[in-house]
Amino acid sequence: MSTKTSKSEIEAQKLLDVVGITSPPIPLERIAEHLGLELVPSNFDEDEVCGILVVDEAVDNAVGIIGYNRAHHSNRQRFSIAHEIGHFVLHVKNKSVEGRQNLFIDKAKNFTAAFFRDAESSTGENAWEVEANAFAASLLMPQTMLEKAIGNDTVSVVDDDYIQQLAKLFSVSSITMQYRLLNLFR
Amino acid sequence: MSDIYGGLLYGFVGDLVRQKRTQIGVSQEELAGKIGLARVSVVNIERGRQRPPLHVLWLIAEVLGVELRDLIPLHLQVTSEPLAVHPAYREQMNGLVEKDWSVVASMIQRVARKGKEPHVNENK
Repeated sequence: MSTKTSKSEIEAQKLLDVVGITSPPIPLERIAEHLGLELVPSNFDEDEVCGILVVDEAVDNAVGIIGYNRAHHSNRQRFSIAHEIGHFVLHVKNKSVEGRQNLFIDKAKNFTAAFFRDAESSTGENAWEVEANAFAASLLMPQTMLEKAIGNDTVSVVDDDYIQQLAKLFSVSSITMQYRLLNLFR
Repeated sequence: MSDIYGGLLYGFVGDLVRQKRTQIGVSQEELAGKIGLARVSVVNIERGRQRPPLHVLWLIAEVLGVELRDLIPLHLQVTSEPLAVHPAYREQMNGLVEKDWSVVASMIQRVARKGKEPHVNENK
């Protein structure tokens, strides 16, 4: 499956276009504001909940809160927030999704379980986690911006310094950047 | 009405369906078959995750030998329930440590309150 054409990739880019974001690091606050979502730093246990999404969609405009773990590193917080935005765009706003829900709770262990799996090999609720992760990666590290940042450089996914530089530019962790590069350019 | 309460309402409806169904010893499969639904739909209705249209609920009532009103909770029952412990959320909140549980509960209540502020919904 090509990452370029995945639903997550397309939806993330659409969102960036609508909000008018053209360069990294991606300002998640602006995106959340555009979607009517409030970002709330929360006192979750450090090893448990990374992020939650609570939505009330009684009327046209959904009202929602994303809570993220105050104890986590800011890069990790950004990924959690982007992941919850993914749930909101893909699984709440998307009226064709069956079994829509108002509450998403994402724990550290679910993240890692879903992270390294291909979207096609997963079903049901787990597929949602995989999709939300793919969305988060696409939103935080958009393909076009990444390509621009790389330019004519030869990308080596084992060049730690280079990856660290890129990661810093996009405000993500090195491992997240490495995984994204592997996904896009392998 | 806030949709958080909508979620609660269908959670109660699901509870009532399950109660009546188990009382008369009908399986989810049997119930589904009699009204032409997949078993998974009955599972989801009972969990409050699927919102059955009125006519489906009416058919369910017929199969279970009760009146439609027996599957619908009182208004007060829905609006007075402490949000966070309701079945619609219980399943997801069960695995939480106590600290996280109370944070999540307060956020659910916060969103429910926001949903009821009219100006939030009026500006487009």
